[in-house]
Amino acid sequence: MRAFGYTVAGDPAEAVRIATRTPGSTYVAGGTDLLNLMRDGAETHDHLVDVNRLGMGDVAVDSRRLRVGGSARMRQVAEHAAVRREFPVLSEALLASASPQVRNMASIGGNLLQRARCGYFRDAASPCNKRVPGSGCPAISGHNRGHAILGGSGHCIATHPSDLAVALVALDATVRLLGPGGERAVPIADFYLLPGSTPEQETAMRLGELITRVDVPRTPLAGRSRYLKLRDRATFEFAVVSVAAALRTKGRMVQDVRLAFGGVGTRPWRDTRVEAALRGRPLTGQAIAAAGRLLVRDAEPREGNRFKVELVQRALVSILSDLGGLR
Amino acid sequence: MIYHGSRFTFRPDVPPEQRTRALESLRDLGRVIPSVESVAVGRDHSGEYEWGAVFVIGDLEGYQQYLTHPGRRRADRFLRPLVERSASFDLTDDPDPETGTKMAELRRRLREAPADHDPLPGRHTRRTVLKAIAVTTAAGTGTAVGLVSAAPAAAAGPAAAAPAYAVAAGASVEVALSVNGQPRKVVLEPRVTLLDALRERLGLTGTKKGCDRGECGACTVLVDGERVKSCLTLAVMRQGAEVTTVEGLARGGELHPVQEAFIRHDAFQCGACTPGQIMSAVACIDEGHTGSQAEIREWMSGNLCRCAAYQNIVAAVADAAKEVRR
Repeated sequence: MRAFGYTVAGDPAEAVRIATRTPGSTYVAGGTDLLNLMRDGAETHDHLVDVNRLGMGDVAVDSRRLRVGGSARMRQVAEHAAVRREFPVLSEALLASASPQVRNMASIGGNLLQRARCGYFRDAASPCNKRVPGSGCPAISGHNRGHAILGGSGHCIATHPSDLAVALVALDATVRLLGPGGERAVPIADFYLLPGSTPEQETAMRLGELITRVDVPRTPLAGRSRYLKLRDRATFEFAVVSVAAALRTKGRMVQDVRLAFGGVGTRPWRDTRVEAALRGRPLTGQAIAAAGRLLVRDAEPREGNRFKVELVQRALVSILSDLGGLR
Repeated sequence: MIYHGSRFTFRPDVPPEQRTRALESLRDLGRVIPSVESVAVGRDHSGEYEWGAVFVIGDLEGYQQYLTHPGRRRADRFLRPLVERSASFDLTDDPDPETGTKMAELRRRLREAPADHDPLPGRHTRRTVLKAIAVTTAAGTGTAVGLVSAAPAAAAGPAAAAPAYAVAAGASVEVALSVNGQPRKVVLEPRVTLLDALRERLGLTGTKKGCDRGECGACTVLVDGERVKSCLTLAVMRQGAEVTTVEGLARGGELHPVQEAFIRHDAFQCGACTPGQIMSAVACIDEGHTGSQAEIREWMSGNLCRCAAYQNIVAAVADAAKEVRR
């Protein structure tokens, strides 16, 4: 790693002030992704601002929502009794991520901002529009088994690797940010951007902004949620395809449903048309299959990831059948 | 063509070998920066300066690459403290007068901007850095979180009351750790990982460096009782932490039950992953994730064994768990 400066900030406002004023700076919490990005030359930073001592590590539930501090650790959230009871999809998505060691280290804010696992992005010697805008995307005609079938562009087809983000998208979470212009809240649906012609811009965050908290609304639906992750080995691996689902039924009728998908989209993927196709109708194998077809209607598979079109539909059948008691 | 030149005189106290290295770092730029077509570094015979360097660059785009290249910034950072005085010039033989204007504009934008916004100005000694940050802190709203004791040179300067500290790139900081129950202090750059601090600075080579990117688990240690991958954390991030390595498990001549179980079950072949496996197992048992073989496999998944001694590792962890619980 090349040399960089380091500041331990004492409070969030100070962290933002230092990061905004110091050229080439970024925040570090766990560092579990950042250090590898810097080693690989996928990211270069002249200065790191440590955000571990800002008092942003709490996890709490009140009558309306779950509040997760930006520097809370993955393990802490996954093991939190109220999270496990009332937001099982969050706990399951976190426990399906990384390894026990990394879950002790990695923060929630950092998890949401982890970078693509695309081999071309991570290899500083390859062209990559995300890393060096305008240099090209070798994945489109190259190794693209792990890449997106939805939401891609001619500039980038990398998936977002966070499992937690998929679960948060399903639960309509809100990301709270502090920046040089003050505080603001961004619904997670607007937080991740499609690559379009600017794949280097992955989120709606502005220069110097810091994730201070993630809020998740407390609803009966969230309590009936699950995460299904399919991957190349049993554990300690990123998703090939994943589904976060929350379902409420009355008898056979679907009262409400939320679905988000990982591994298939250039951002954590939610398509409300798929949910609408299920809502207010009996939950049957046929209905789920129809919803699945709707999900992949606009899919643009590549040579290496064609299998995901079928796999994501089967994953949907599997998780909804389990949640809805069809098997 | 664009020609960038610089003339400089070393400070008298700079030793010859450091001068040679500095001059070599300038010549290196010709190899490192693609747009630099040729470089000449040599004695300046004008009598005003000792040395001179000229960089030949094809066009404006190349000039921008030259100005912004990290290699150039690195050489600059290395050279600056060694130089007493210097002058530079940029000229072009391009007949288009626009080229010169654009060069000047580029240079102004790219070379002056960082200086204006650099919160750590001038020579980046730790003292000046601390002062700079102390000012920032005093202006802040300050919910101080007792970092004073952890701040390295805090007592030496006005930063003593500051809740934060800072280290400039290339500068070192003192990190205080408790390692296997012993207070240890180590002075290092922010880029040094906890793993390298343990192995290279504190001589605790029991912790292994496998992949050095968080995938194999050979570097697993306990920090404040929790297992972490020491290659994925900077030592400076662990200021004041309690670290336990494999060297800290045995009590006198008596091995830890997990160590005993690994021997009993022959839970290794080459042994390279073993210290990490053992540290991870200690935490896995402590966390209570040893209810079944499947649970042990899942919760030991952050530790890879290239010899595939997994069968015996799982048996050892299960066995040790019984012993620890007893």
